[in-house]
Amino acid sequence: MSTPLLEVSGLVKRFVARSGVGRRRIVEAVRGVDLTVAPGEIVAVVGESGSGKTTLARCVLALERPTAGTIRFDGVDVHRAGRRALAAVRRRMQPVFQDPYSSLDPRWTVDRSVREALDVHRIGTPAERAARVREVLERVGLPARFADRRPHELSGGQRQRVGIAAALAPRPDLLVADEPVTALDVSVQAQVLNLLHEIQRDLGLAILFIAHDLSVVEHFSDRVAVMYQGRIVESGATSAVFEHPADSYTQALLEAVPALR
Amino acid sequence: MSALLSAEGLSVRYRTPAGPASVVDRVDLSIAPGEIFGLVGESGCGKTTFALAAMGLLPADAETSGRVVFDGRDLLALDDEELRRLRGDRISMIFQDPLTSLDPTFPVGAQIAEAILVHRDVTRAEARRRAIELLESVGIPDAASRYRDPPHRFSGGMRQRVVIAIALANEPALVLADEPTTALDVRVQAQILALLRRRCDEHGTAVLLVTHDLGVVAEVCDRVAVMYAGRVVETGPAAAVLSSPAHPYTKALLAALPARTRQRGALEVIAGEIPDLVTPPPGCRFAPRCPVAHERCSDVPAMTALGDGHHGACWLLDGGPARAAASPVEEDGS
Repeated sequence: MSTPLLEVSGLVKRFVARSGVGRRRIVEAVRGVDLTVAPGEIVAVVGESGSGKTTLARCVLALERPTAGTIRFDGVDVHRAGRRALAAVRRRMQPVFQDPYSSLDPRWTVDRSVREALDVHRIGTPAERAARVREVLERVGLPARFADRRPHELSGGQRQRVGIAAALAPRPDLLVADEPVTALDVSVQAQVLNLLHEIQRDLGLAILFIAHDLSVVEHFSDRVAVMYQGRIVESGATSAVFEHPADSYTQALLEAVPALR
Repeated sequence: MSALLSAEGLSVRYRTPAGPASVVDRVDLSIAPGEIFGLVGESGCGKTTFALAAMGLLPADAETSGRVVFDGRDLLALDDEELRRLRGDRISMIFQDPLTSLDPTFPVGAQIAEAILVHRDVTRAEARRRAIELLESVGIPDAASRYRDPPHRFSGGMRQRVVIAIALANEPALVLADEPTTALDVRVQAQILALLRRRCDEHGTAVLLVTHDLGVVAEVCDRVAVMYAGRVVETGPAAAVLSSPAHPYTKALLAALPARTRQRGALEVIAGEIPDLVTPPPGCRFAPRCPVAHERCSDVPAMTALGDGHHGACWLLDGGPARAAASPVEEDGS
């Protein structure tokens, strides 16, 4: 196996939850997770609500500081890197969120949202940035006329395309996609999954795909890690895990999926 | 089969700044006692509006026509007081998010007892006894001791069980359930669906299950109606509709499911977007996106019977494009 692009080892994340009057409780959301993503690979983390999958993604994106463990991106320890090294990692690792309606600024045009990462990372001249925005919008199947629109003028599927275009703009190596199709209707979900697959194939991107929908994960990913109560209970090639689940939790999860036939 | 609830030509229009939007258009369907009837479709297809219309819960700017007959009475013609007496008694409703349908400050037991006291002339002690029984029947362990717990002490799945207990409190004949398991994890969903199924089988309760999830339909529904842009495009036994879909929209929806293929980038997609319901397409509303549309689709297709109660609203099921070419000739001759 090639050197991993992303390497999570021994990740632990605890939160202090305040419940009631003055009562404090420690919640261990992630309890020792090891996970790797190779360049160009699609790895899904699947689990129910509260399994810790979103906390894992937020630690990877350096939006949360781990309690213990390390996250390496292309050899760089993300949480111990200096500002400049972290900025470089952040450019190469882009998030795609569930609901583009809340992740896109409602006052900004599509053009500005997609350009933001280029502005932040000072990539290219203004003319080059404008060209890049046109290029990625075209890549996600949005005609140039969409550049002047604002989020409320777009359908759910179009908004998620804008979210993906914004993530692609700074030429990342890894997308961290947290439930990117959960808010979409089935027919729109199919369009967005196809688009993500095309982009992954054409650009050789790696994708860390966080999801709860088992049929989406089965269709979409190369490898899968099943999370339950903060731990990975089973992982492996997606087809192997779905055809021969070894862990009793994975089995229960798969059995509960309503089957069409 | 005698219908418990039947919609006859139900239409709902919302007033919008651009003009009236035809959100539900001439929907006919009927639900029998003891059956789970799935109303399935994507966002904006009118499935929730249909359920709200049946409960008299539409906003004031909605205009309705047609009839929704329950127990021989047209629900659209009832006044507020008559509807209030019916709701929570003979007909009840379950919504998607149990946290917003429960009062966060009241013990769950008291919320169930209240539902009983509003409609039944019983003592508080009797209402309490029944509430505990209901909590037990929906699978809440230690029901008596959890009676006083507020909703936040329950998990999402347990809260939805409480909501179901409230909905069943007065043994309704019909439960309208709008995406009752959408917010729940898959294992909890399976338990809640099994609970609803058992209730229908044992008590003859009918359920109108509004959902976007074809898997849920396959799991528990006896019959199903597929809606698109305000109209029912196909209806029939759930097994028949899912295994041999007749309408191009139903076919496309099934083909878009990721479970159908492992091939990358190869999910079937439905081109285009749902139509604007202020100015919907003149004939079949799916025609602008339909891969097999033809001239005849500019007329509204009639429901064609396909056997065993399976119906589809597509001209291809009714003679196909050949008849389409023939029809102008008939008109010329008349």
